[in-house]
This record gives sequence, structure tokens and C-alpha cells, in this order.
Amino acid sequence: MPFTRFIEGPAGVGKTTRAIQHVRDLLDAGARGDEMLVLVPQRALGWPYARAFTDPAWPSGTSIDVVTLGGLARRSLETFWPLVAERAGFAQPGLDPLFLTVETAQYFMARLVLDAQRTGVFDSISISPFAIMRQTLDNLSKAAVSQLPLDEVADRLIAAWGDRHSSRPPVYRACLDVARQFREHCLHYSLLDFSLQIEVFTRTLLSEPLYVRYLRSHYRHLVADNLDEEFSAVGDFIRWLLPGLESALLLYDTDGGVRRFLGAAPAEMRTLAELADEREEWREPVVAPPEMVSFAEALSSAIVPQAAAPAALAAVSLDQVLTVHSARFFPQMVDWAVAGIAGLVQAGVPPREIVIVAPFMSDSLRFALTTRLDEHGIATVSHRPSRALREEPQARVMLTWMALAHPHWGIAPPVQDVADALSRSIAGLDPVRAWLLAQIVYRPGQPELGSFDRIQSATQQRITYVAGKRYERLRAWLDAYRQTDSGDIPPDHFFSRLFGEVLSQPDFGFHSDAEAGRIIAELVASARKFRQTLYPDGAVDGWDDVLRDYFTLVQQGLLAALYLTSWRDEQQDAVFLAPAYTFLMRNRWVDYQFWLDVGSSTWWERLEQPLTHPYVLARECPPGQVWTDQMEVAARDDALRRLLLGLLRRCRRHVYAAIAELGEQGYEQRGPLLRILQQLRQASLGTQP
Amino acid sequence: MAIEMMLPEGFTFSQANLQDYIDCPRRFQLRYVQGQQWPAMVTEPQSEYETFKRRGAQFHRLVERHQLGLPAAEIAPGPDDLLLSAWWDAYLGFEKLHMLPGARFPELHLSAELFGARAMAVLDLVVVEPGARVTIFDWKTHWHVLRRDWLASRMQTVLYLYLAVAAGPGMWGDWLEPEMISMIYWFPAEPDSPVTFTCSRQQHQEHGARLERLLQEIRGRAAERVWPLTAEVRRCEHCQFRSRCGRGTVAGAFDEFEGGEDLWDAVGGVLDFEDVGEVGF
Repeated sequence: MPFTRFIEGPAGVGKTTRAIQHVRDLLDAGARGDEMLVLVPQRALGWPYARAFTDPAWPSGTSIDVVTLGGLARRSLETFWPLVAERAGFAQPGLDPLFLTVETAQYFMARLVLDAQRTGVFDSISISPFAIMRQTLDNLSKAAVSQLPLDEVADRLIAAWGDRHSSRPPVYRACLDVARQFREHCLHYSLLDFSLQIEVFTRTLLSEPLYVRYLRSHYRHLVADNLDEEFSAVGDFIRWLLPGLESALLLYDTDGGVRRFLGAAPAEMRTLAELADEREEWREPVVAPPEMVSFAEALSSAIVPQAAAPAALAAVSLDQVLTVHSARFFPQMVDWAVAGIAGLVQAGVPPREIVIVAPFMSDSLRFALTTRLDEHGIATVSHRPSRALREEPQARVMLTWMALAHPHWGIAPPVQDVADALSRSIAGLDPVRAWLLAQIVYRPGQPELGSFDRIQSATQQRITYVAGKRYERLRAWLDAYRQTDSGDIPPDHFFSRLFGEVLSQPDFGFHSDAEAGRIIAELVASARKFRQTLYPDGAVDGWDDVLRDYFTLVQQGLLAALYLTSWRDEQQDAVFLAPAYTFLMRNRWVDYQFWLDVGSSTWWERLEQPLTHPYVLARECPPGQVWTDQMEVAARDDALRRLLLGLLRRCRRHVYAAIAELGEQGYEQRGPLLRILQQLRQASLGTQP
Repeated sequence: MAIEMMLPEGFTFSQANLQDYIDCPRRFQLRYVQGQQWPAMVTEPQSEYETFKRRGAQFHRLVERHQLGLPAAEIAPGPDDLLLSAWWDAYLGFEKLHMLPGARFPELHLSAELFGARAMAVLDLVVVEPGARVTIFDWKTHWHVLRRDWLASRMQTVLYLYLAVAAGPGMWGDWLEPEMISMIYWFPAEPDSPVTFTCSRQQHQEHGARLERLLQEIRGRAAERVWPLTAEVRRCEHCQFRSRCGRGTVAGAFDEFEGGEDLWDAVGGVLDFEDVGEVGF
């Protein structure tokens, strides 16, 4: 057995820093970079390692693998596919694997879900096709990461429901039927979604002698960080890998495990400590000040008294680390937060030292914060997972031109959309003139846009001849496409050509618009993945049906933007806006945190997921467990406690908590977090001299 | 502002981004310093370019599998792609490689300090015979043999040989001298016409001096608002930023595209996390 060390401690005590030093020590002692495996639960949690390893001062040599289990599985399956394809049940083992992302998995799932929905089987619950797809994929993933058979997923969900309303069990079964159909489809065409990657890797590849020899001779040292956020399957993999290693460093974040809703199994992962030769418990924070630590502990014991020793706030005035502000209305709360941030920045605080978190970050809240901070000249950076592509104005422009380039589809965009597309596409054409132009040249139902030359001279002057000339160039491109290329090129090529040949040319709206470039690059990438996933060998008679299918899926809001935050986003000197859980998974430390909508009960509530259940699908939950209301309350309390501890332990100076008495929807708010904060303030006041 | 402050944290120099700078400083600025994405066509017909890339990737994968010990009979490509099958047969007949003694490292990632920055190289195959030699192989899946003088001038040749010397001793032992390193570009379409580059102490110093000048030049541009556009306007035909620079409308023809393969890793420039899967919801 290798020498194994298990270090446990809360966030901010220096565990990752220690691990990086450990890797450095190994290199200095003669180990090679490619002999080390750094395992992290999520890519953002690997950034500190990647940053260190790309520092110019880092020793030269081979690169060090910093991966998730999913990443390792994918990479290994790609290379060793011929060893496992047939054994794992793939119908065409000669077909190379195609790895599906959550988005590309939806291309296949969409058809199955829409077919199932048409039978009425999901009618008893109010849920969108998009949510059915996501939660069906979620069930597959949870089965894989907890290493449960798919049948057991249905059994557990039904058992958890107990004797409550009887319409739910058939819905669970329908969801699992869709999952099985999807799995069959994947096995037939060598498609691997996340769940199948994990299953084939753990059940088949890890028992293949050639691969086992390769892996065991390749990796001699393991660092596994943030084990508290890992899945049961990762624990199994570490137990399997350990005997062949020379050393292992296992790091566990006390009170972490905030990814339980994704299948993390913190309690089970903690049992890895039993394998360690040395166990260390680190308590001394190197990031958060003592006042913040006391506040965190007091908050923790106020939520779940048995989770931590009751902490007295006597030693510290809460005001040193917490400011609570109550506003009557939501916009006033936003104003207060913006004013506070502006004041801090004015006082010299770098914007990147400030984060704004809320349980959910709606588009309207994000827009309000971004525009208001922009008025103060303060940059913001925001993470927008799962935002539908059609929500992006620049993507809508491309879709409008796509519809008009294919008039035989019979899809007539509203005049407003055409006016908006004209205004955004043609430099110098303001919305009023664009509206005028659209009303004249566009007649829904007519196959082509009208010519600027046929407009009355007085109106031409109002629109301006310069804009008219540009409009004609755009119209000529669409005409030429219709006549020569219509239906002959795939959707991503259509977008690329329209962008490159017209809309990003001088005199057009996207010419120097980096944001448009980014969003349309996402659109192109999404369309390319759609095409390459559904038609990997390009064997189609024509692309027209593919173009139309893609258009329809985006219009239905079924395709999400691929938006990937990068280091570039993270390092910007900008205020970070994110849902609270997203911020925690960045594992960033900041000086100031603004918690918005503290009165909202959504801080305490679980994501509404009627077709799945993170707790009963965890391996540690006994099969047949009925999920009671008491369990739900305890789970929510525990999740809130972990979330708040995670936030506070990543804050160096001060938390500003903002309350809107009437929430975004206009309802009065008295959520659990608000009550707890009030309780602590009372206690703090009571202990002050 | 120093260039390190302008490039994304974790930025690593590679043969692709250094070549980008040499081809057009403005392209380097837009792509890496400003991180702009510009989804215009690079070449037409795009479908041919994609087939070229896909086949190249498949060939690299086949060789990697074989070098890792998977039996040739189990990994041979199907009969539907005659060209790939021909390349595979040529590879199996590449005796110089198969007879070469030593440990084999397919798809090896090297990373080293480069004059105050970080640089990396992805080597298709390295064969190491301890105490004797290190041979780097690079598969060039172009449709024709690339000229020796063109290859010699490419950053790939310069950087890979330089990094092998810089990082090699730490990996394979102190015995490694520049003279023991060679790099072979091998063309499956022209298997009898490999292009070999050897190294020497003097050449290593020259490579180093060239790379140092290049990095100094890049650093010197940090304060410039718009970096110089290439004087060879012909290059813009195969550049995605041509519309951004007002240098053309339509992408250039694929059969006039010299650098095709280099574009594989041209975008990004930071440590690649593409393969780090996530459960997304």
C-alpha cells in the first residue's frame, strides 16, 4: 500500500496550497509530472493546480494531469475503445465513440421526451420538456455515480414517495422508460453521455488487463482534492487505485459537500480516511479573520444546533463582519447593493474582490445589477449556466436571418424581430429607422425581402441612403444564398458565413463587437455539435432538414448556450455575479460578499426536480427509504448550513446582506435565513456591553 | 502593462500561438491577448477541411493505440476510408520506427520555463533509448510532403527541439545532450520521404536566442493598442479575423491552405481542460 495522508479541514485552511507543495516536493525528489494524477470533482476546482503548474517557476518536465473522474474516463475510453466496445454492449464496436455533453445528449433525448409527452404520461405534473430531459439525464448520472442499476432508481424514487398522491409512480416509470430508450440508442450508435462514460469506465475498462497495466504503470502518485464534493464512484476508484501507488494525498473539506444535489456523497467519501497512514485535522484559518469564523460557527449552530458547538458571539460584535439592510421593494434592495459596491470601489477596493450572490440569479436581477454597476463604471462578470441560446439578442438576429434565408420553411418571423435584426445588423441604423424599413420591406408570408431601391425617395432619405446601401448588401447575400446554397450547407456553416461575409464586415453591426463574436461563436459551436453528433459522417441527402431541426430546437428554448467561464473571465477586475452555489464551486476568496434577497425562502429550498431526488438516489440511503417531511427539513437545514459556511469561509472582510420585504414577484418574504440572521443580531446585541 | 498581465492567467506559449504571432501579430493580439472569438470561415469548402482534420485525428489515435500496445489487428480502420487504410498500412510498414529500440511515449506533453514564461509541446511520439538518443516523431497528415526549409522555419521545429533539450534531462536523465535529439516529420501519404532534423549544442543556442527575441518582441508590444497586421495579405484569406481587419470577405480555398494541421491547437492557449467532464444541470 502507498503512503496515504488524509487531511481534513474547513475551506481556507491551506489544504490545496499544501497539496501543490506536495506535488512540487515529489517533482524535486525525482518523480515525473506524468506519473501524477490530480483528481478534482469539477474543472473550476482544478484551477489552482493548473495555475501553479503553468507558472514559469514550476519545474520543467511532463505535464501533470488535473482531471475529474469523468475526464479521465473519457480520455481513457477514447484511447482504449477497441478493448471495451463489444464487451460493454455496443452494437457497432467498430464505430468510434462519440462523447455527449449535457447539451448534445438533449438532441437525442428531445425526440424521446416529446414522443413520451404526446402520450400524456407526464400530464399529471407541471413540467417542461426541457426539465424532463435534464432530470432524465440526471437520473442516469446519479445511477452511474452511485453505481446503482437503473431499475433501482425507479424503485427508490417510488419508495421515497411513500403513500402520498398516487400519480407520481407512473411518472417516475415513464421517466425511466425514456432513460432506457436513450441508453439503447446510445449503445446502438456508440454514443456516451456522462453516465455511460462512468459506467463503461468503471465496470468494463477497469477490468481490462491491458488498461489496468497501463494505468498502474502510468500513475504512481495521487492527489485527490475536495473529496467532500465527489461521487461514490470516485471513492470506489480511489480504493481500487491505491494499492498500486507510491503515495496518495487525500483532502477533505469539513462542512463541504454542497454538491449533494448533483450526487456528491460527502459522508461516504470521508470514510476514505480509514485507509490513511496519517490523518491530519487542520482548523486554523489562513483566509477568513477570526470574527468571520465566529460568525460562521454561530450561524452554523443556529441552523443545526448539533452540527457545531454553540458559539457565543460575545467576543465579537457582529457589526464588524455583517451589515444587514432591509428595503421595502426589490429595486431599492438592488440600489442599496449597487451604492455599497460603488462606495467600496471608490474607496479603492478592486472590483474582483467583490461578489454578489443570490440563491437564483434571474435575468432581470442580473440585468439590473449589470446596468446599474455599469453606470458607475464598474465592470461585472457573470456565470450564466443553462441559459437558452434564444435568450441572446445576437443569436436571435442570426435565427431571424436563417428563417428569411429559408422561406420554403413557411416560418415568418414577427416584424419586430426583423426590425431588431436590421437594427443590430446594419451599423448606423437606429431602432426607429429599422422599424420603418422592416415595415416596408418585410411582408410576413412573402418569400423575399423587398428592395430599398423601390422605396419612395422621401422614406429612403429618412432611413438614409448609407443604411439603404448596407441593407442591400445584406439582402443580396440572402438572395444569393437562397439561389445557390440553400439547404446545401449545415447550420454551423450558414452562421459562420453570414457572420464572416456580411455581419462582421466593416459597415455592419458586429464588425468590432467582441460580445457578438463570442455569442455567435457559441451558436456556431452548438450547431456544429448538433450536426456532428446527429450526423457524424455527414451522410445526409441535403442539409435542409438538419437546418430546420436545429432552428426549431433553438426556437423552442431546448438548446442552452455553451457559455464556459474561463480563467479570462475569472481574472477580470470585475464584480462577480453568480448564484451562491456557483460561486462556491469557483472556490474563490473575496474581501466582500453581497448576499441579495436574504428574505427569500429559496435560500433554504431545494431545486424543484419532481422527477429525481438527490438524497434517495445516494448510495448511502437505504433502498426502500420513504422520504419524510422531517427528512426534507433536516436536509434543507443541512444544505443551508453548508452553503453559508462555504460562503463565510471564503470571505475575508465583510458580508452585506440585503433584504427586500417584497420579493421580485411582489410577495412578502420571511425566509429561514432572514430569521436566523435576526436571531443572531439579537444575540449579538444582547452580549454587547 | 506587462504582457503577462494582459494574457490570461495560466497562458502557455505553444508552437501554434508563437506561429500565430510570427504570421500576424494582430492575430495573436485578437486571439490570445484580447481573447476574441470570431466564428468566420477559415477555409472553403469547409467540409473538405473537416474531413482532413477528422482523418488526421483518427490517424493520430490509431498510432497512439498501437504504441500503447493494442494489437494492430484489433484497431485497424474499417474499409470505408481507403485513404486512412492506406496511411495505416504505411505506418505498419514504417520499419525505422518499429525497429527503433527504447521506451515509447505517445502523445507526450512537455512543459518548461521559456525566458520568464511557460511553454508546452505536445509530441506525437517520443522514443527514448537511455544513454543513447531521443527521437521525436510528428505525424503530418497533409496531402503532400512539406518542404524542408518551410518546416525548418516553423515554430514547431524550433520549439519542440528546444523544449526537448530544456525539459529532457529532468525526465530522462543527465545523459541527454542536444546531439542525441532528433525530430522526424513523417508523412503517411509519402512514407518514404520523412524529413529529419537533428540538434546540436549550437543549434539549441540558436533556437533559444530566436525564442528569446520573439518573446521580447511580444512583451514589447504590450502597450500598443493595435498590433501590426501581417504584410502578407494573402495570409488573411485563411484567417478567421479577416472581416475584423477589413481584409476580405470570403475564406480562401482549402487546397491553398498551408497551415491546416496547426489550427488544431491554435485556439485557447491555456492549459486544456476540454476533457474535464462535468455533470452539468
